[in-house]
Formats: sequence, C-alpha cells, structure tokens
Amino acid sequence: MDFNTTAFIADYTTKGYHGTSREAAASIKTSNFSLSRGDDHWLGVGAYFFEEGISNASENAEYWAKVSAWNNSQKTYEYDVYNVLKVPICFKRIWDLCSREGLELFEYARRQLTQKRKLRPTESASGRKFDNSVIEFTANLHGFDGLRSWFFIKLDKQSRVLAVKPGIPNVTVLCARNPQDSILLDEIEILKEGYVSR
Amino acid sequence: MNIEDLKKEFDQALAQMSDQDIVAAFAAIDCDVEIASEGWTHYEEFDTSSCQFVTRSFSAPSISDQLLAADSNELALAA
Repeated sequence: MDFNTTAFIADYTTKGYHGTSREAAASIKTSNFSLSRGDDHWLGVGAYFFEEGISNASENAEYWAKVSAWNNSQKTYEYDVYNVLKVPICFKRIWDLCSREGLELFEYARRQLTQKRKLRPTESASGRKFDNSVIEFTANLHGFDGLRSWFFIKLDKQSRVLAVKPGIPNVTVLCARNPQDSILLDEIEILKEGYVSR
Repeated sequence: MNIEDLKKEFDQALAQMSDQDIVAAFAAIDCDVEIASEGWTHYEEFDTSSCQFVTRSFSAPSISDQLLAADSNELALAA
C-alpha cells in the first residue's frame, strides 16, 4: 500500500464499496446516492464509501450492511437482504486526510478559525460536529469535491455490544460531496448479495 | 500546489470574509458558531450530581479579565 503525501490529489479515480439494503441498492443504481447527513458523520455531508487501504473494503461494506440493518430500539432487522456495491468514483480534487499535508491543512484551518478569528462552537456544535464543519468550510473554500480519511468504525456485533472505543483506525473512508458529479452511475456493480441474519 | 500555497489560499479567502460572513458560512452547513470577543466563552465541567460533563458559560467579568486584574494586583504589590 502506497501512502500519498500531498494534501489533495487532482483527478483521482478510485473504487468505493458501499453496503446497504437490496432495495436501497436498486434505488442508487437508478437515481444515484443521496447525501448522508448527521452530526456524527465522519467527514460532513456526502455519500460514504469504504476504500481499499488498511483493511479489505468490500468486506467492510458487507459488515456495515449487516450491522446497519439492526434496529436496536425495536430489536429487529430493518432489511433481510443486503447488497455490496462496487462504485467507480472520479474526484476532481480529493482532500486526503490520510496524508501528513492533508492533516496539516486541517489543523491550520482549525487554528486560523479558532485562534486568529476567535470562532467558537456553541453548545449545539460541540464534539465531532465542529470538526466536521471546519472540514466542510475548508473543503468549500478550496473546491474539494471529495475527502478521504481513516476511522475506527464498529463493524461487528461484538464491538458494538462491548461498546469498545479504540483509538486506532480500522478502515479507509471516502466521502463524495457531490455524488451526481463524481460517481459513474452506469458502471456501478452489485458485488455481493446476502442475508443479514445468517 | 503545495501545502504552503494551500495555506495562503485559505488565508486569502478568510481575509475577504467578515466575522458575520464566517458565522453565516458555518450556519449554511448547519453548524452554530459564534465569534468570541475574547478568550473562551464556554468550558466543560464534570457535574457530580448528574455524573456527566456539562457545558457552562463564563460569566462577566470574564476569566481573562479576572486574570488580568490578578496580574495587576500582583504587579501593584510587587511595586
């Protein structure tokens, strides 16, 4: 595995792996990905994928599809059949937070905003939300249409049940900020189909 | 474009934005922020009754004002 060293990569073509229900996969193949939103999202608003890197991306997508099916409040699976999609993605300028310079740019932006311009998150924007917003703000300024970073994501039942909180990342994550422009819809493949509860 | 060019690009874009522009840009990405007049406006404290961290605001005079005042008193005493 080769590590990129620069803050961003121009004209970056890659494969993203996405695990979801069979119904959602069918919808994606016709209507493209919808933007995923939420305060706890890793890299802000966008469509999310696993990429080959520090672990097997298609396996990660499969595990994700299985654990995401479980509705913990209702103690039931929301879907029975999952798909793993292999998605060709072309980024014009992807901000690489796996690289030293990519992280350096984030830290620089955060310091300039919080120390030079005295920007402070209010109570509602504490925790991960503020960092995500600094990422989105900076990505908007530089015209980055994609992001890549490492994270630890709980991909198996055991880590979820035990509520482990490891600090070392286990997956490489991609975020496509404008899926309509970045994703080659006609070339999406269903890599795998399976049952979540078996 | 190397990292130093990106930092310059960031600084130039930021220099063209007023404080209100920055707050509005964050609001547009659904993040509520404020520009502090001085120092931190909030801090976290462990609340022993609820057993969790809670966010509290500094009350006027600010902590930095109190520290400055303390420094002045010490200087006055030293003199």
